[in-house]
Amino acid sequence: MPMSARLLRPRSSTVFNPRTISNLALWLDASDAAILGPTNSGPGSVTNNGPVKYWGDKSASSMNLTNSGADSVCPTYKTAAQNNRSVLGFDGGDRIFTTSASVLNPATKTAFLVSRRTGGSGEQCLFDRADSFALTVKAAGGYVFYYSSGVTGTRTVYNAAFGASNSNSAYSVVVVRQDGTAGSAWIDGVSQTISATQGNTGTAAGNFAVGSIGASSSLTFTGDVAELLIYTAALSDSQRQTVQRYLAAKWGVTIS
Amino acid sequence: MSWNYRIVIVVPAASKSVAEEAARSINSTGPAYDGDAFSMMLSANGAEPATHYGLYTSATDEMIAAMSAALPQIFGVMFWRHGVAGELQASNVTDPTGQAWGLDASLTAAGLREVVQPSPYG
Repeated sequence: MPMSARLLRPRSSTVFNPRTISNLALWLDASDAAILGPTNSGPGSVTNNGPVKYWGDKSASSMNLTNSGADSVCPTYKTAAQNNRSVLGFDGGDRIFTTSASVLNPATKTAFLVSRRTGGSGEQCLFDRADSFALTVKAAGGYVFYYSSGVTGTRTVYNAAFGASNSNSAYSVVVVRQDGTAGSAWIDGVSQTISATQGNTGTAAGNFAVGSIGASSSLTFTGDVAELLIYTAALSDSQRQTVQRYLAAKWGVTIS
Repeated sequence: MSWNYRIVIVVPAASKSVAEEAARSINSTGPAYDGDAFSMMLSANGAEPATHYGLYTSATDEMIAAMSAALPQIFGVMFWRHGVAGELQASNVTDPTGQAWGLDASLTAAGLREVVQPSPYG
C-alpha cells in the first residue's frame, strides 16, 4: 500500500534563531567561518590552527571584534573541535576586541557563553565590557561575574564568585544576568549561588573584549570559546531556557 | 598555508626589543602590526617586575625556517616547538621525546610563571 502524502510531508523546521528574542546586542559564533577573518579588515578564509583577527557580529549591532596585532596575540581557528564545529582557541596571550561597544550601555544585560578552560593560571577573562560587565574563570575552579546596579553616576559594582567546585575544563553553557539591581548566574542550566562583594568601577566603557580585560593583555584566557550572545535586557527564565537549549544542542553540552 | 606547528619563545627582558624585531619578519600579515608579539609577562615567582617575556603561537613551515634563522641572534632565548596534537618536536631547553607539550610545560621547564595581575574591578 503506498504511503499517504500526509506521512511523506516533511515536518517544518523549528531551528531557533537567537535574533527572534528582542535586544540581541552581540552574537559571536565560532562555528560560522563566513564571519571570521585572518586579517582585521573583515571576513576571509581562515585556516585550521591559523590566526583569527576578525570575528563578525551576527546580531544587528555590527559590533565586530578585531585584533590588528601580531599572530601571537590573536586567537586560533580550530576546526571540528566540539560537536564537529569549529571554535576559537585562546592560548594565554590572545584577545579580540572592539573600542566601540556603546551598544552595551544599557544597565540590564544577559550573556550566554559556551567555552572551556584548558590551562593557564590565576584568574582569566572570558569576556569584558570595561565598565564592569565581565565574566572570568579561575584556574582553581569556578567563575567570577562582575556586574553593576544602578546607572552611571550612582552605579555600584559587584564581583560575584560562583561554581567554585566546577573545574570549568569541559565545555559548558554559562549564563550571567544583571537586572539593574542584582546579578544571577547559571551553569548548564543550574542556578548558581553567588556571593557578591562590592568592587571597583571599571574604566573605558567603550571597550569590549573576549579573552582579556579590555584591549589589554591583562587576565588573558587559556581555553576555547565556541559562542557568545549578549542581550541588553534581563531575559525571562523562559527566554533564558530557550537560548540555553539552543546552545546545548548545537554544542553537545548536557544541561538540566 | 598549513599551520602545522605551535611555538613557545621566551626571552629575557633585556632581549625583548631584539626579539620583537625578529618576530616582525615571521608574522602572517606582515611586519606592520600594532603592539608587541611578546605579550606574556613572566617571572620566577609570578610577581612583577617581569624578568622575561613570552609568546605562544601557531606557525607554518616558512615561519619555522625564518624563526630558526633569527633565534641565534637573540641572547638568552628559549624555544619549544610542538605539533598541533601537542607532541614536543624541538627545543633548545628540553630534550624532545615526543612527550605531550604546551605553554604550561614550557614555563615549568623555564622555571617561570605568568605575572599575576589583579582584576581591575576589585
